[in-house]
Amino acid sequence: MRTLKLIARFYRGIFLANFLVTLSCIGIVGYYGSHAHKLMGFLFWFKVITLGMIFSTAIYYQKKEMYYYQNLGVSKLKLGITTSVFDFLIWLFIIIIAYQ
Amino acid sequence: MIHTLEADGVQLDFGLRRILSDVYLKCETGKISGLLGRNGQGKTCLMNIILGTLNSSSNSIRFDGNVTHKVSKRPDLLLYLPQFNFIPKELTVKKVLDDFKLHVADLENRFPEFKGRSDLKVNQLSGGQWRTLELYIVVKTPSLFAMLDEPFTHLNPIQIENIKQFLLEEKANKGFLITDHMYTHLLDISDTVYLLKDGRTHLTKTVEDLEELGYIRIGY
Repeated sequence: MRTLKLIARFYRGIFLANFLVTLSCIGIVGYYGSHAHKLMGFLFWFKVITLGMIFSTAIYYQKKEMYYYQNLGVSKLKLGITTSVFDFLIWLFIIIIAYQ
Repeated sequence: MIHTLEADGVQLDFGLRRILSDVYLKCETGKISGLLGRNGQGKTCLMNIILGTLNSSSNSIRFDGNVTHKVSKRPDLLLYLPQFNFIPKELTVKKVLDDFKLHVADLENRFPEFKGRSDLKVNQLSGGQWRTLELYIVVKTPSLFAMLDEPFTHLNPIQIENIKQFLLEEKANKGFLITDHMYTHLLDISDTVYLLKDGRTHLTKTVEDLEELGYIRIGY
């Protein structure tokens, strides 16, 4: 429970940047309408790459705070994997809805 | 039960420069081990190697005789106080204590200066109080050992004396490895003092030993 709370706290800090990327993907899907499926590969890699970039930037600027999470047993890897997977699932869900 | 933390066979190179080559350190429950050394001798690197966050060519980090890797993932074994502030500044004192499952009342009893300050964010505390809070959570959170990198930084003389007393009280519960440039304070509370020089650890006991090894100059 504590681990989840810590991960959620870290995710709050990067949520806006990730959500803006998701919104831009929705915008692209909306613009291309029924042809948007042709862009799914591009959108997938766009999301994956920005997820990595946003996470790297976050841990670069919060390098010192990482020791706080570490002392609580939450590693950078755990933070990265859980927040990225969660955000990617949100993206996938929204993209599917937008496409339909 | 007495637990031991030993580090030896540590070899660290940065390019062609050898930083650490012949290191032996031992910490025990109930004891404070001090680590001294001039700037750039590798004290923080050694701590990071023990923690597993810095790779070295070779090392042997043992807890109770068992070689352990990636200690940073085991806060039950070892907690680390870095030399800079590490608590996210937007957190309140209460939230920090809650994260570490510690109680506000206990902090206020041990450090009365925190009375009525639990709802403040850590960046609203003074530098000394911020550091004291960091020390408190690292020392009080259950673990076998704690490594403290420059714990006396930001503290005023009264706070330093208070922290020294606190560490002496708490050493019954865990072993400490402490490094700080304020060597007199470190000598006061340490049971064992190692001096890191030219990549090697030297066991020292007195100020004279430190002078002989070139760490200090008495009389200047």
